[in-house]
Amino acid sequence: MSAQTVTLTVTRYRPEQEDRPTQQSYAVPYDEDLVVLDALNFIKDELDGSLSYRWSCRMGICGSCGMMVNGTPKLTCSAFLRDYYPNEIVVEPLTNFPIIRDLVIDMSDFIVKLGRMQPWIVPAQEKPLSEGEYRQTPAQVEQYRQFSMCINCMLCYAACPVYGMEPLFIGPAALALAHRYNMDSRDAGRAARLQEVIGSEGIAECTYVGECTVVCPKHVDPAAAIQRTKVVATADYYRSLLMPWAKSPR
Amino acid sequence: MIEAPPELKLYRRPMARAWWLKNRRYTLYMLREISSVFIGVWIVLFLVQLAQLGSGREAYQGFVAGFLRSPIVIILNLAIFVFVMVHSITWNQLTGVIQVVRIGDRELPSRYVAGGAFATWLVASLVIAAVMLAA
Repeated sequence: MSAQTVTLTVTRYRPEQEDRPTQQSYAVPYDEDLVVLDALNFIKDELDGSLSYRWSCRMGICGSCGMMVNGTPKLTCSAFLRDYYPNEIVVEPLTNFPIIRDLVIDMSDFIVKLGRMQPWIVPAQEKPLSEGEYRQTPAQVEQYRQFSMCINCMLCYAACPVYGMEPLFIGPAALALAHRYNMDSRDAGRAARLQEVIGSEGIAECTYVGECTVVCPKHVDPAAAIQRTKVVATADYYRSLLMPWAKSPR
Repeated sequence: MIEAPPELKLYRRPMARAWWLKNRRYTLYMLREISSVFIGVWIVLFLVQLAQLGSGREAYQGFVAGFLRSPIVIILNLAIFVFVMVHSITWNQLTGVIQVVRIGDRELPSRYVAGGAFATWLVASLVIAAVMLAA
């Protein structure tokens, strides 16, 4: 380990002893290969075992370690110290979510909204296992593949000022996942999902700030998913208005 | 907002009033949103201009000389022009995000879709300019 250090200023909130969050600074060893999560682990292991934060895989797939790094939502396992060094690095809990403790946010709101989107395949007709799998061509997979890459890290919610101002808004990741299943050729749940997303808490709230797409570590592009859902929902509405006898596609 | 069990003492951070100054993209978003106000102002000006046209040649010429050519209205129109450009450019860029064009199994890159929208805009503008200059 080199002798160089970098200062990490971290949000502390210990609800049993204080009413509002404070900040605490730590000097941690600097190395160009280290990420912000490594620095947090160093604090936890060597300097202050009372610091709380979520993490798991260290490789950008579990979606647990999302935090604000110098004001921007980041996966801390993918945010390298070298991109900030020698400046101070400020680590805060994800914006727009209530804080439970230190860097740990309450994600209950997101989890419930995700469930409302029915993020699973709703087949038109259940078939017995003996008939085998529901098959797709590579082109059919391409229709939704990008939107299936979401790891539920909630960086997009922290980046979304609409969610900050209107907590009832279903939000980017959940709406993107609804779009992912709507675009799946094996799925027939679109009408039910659209009922959920066209309400005042859904796609209409989105004014296309676009920051969700900028911060997404998996290039899901939730902003595009939401705008495309607007087009699909509008087309469905006019189709049912002008051709009430026509069956809704899927 | 659905929350964790009540025994937790959650801390909710207020949203900063100046959140839109936090990064450049938020600020550009706010400029894009405010551009619709300027477009609304232009539409009102245009309707007033049409109404003046309906009241006869003299009334219209008086309106143009006395009001439309005043420095303050010219400055206002310049500001409107800038915001109309912001509005139109961001709108055309959005077509590339929304409209998925497939040729066979392949998706056309979004810049081509947006490029098509910009080209249509340019052609339409040239046609309108040609008609107006010929009149």
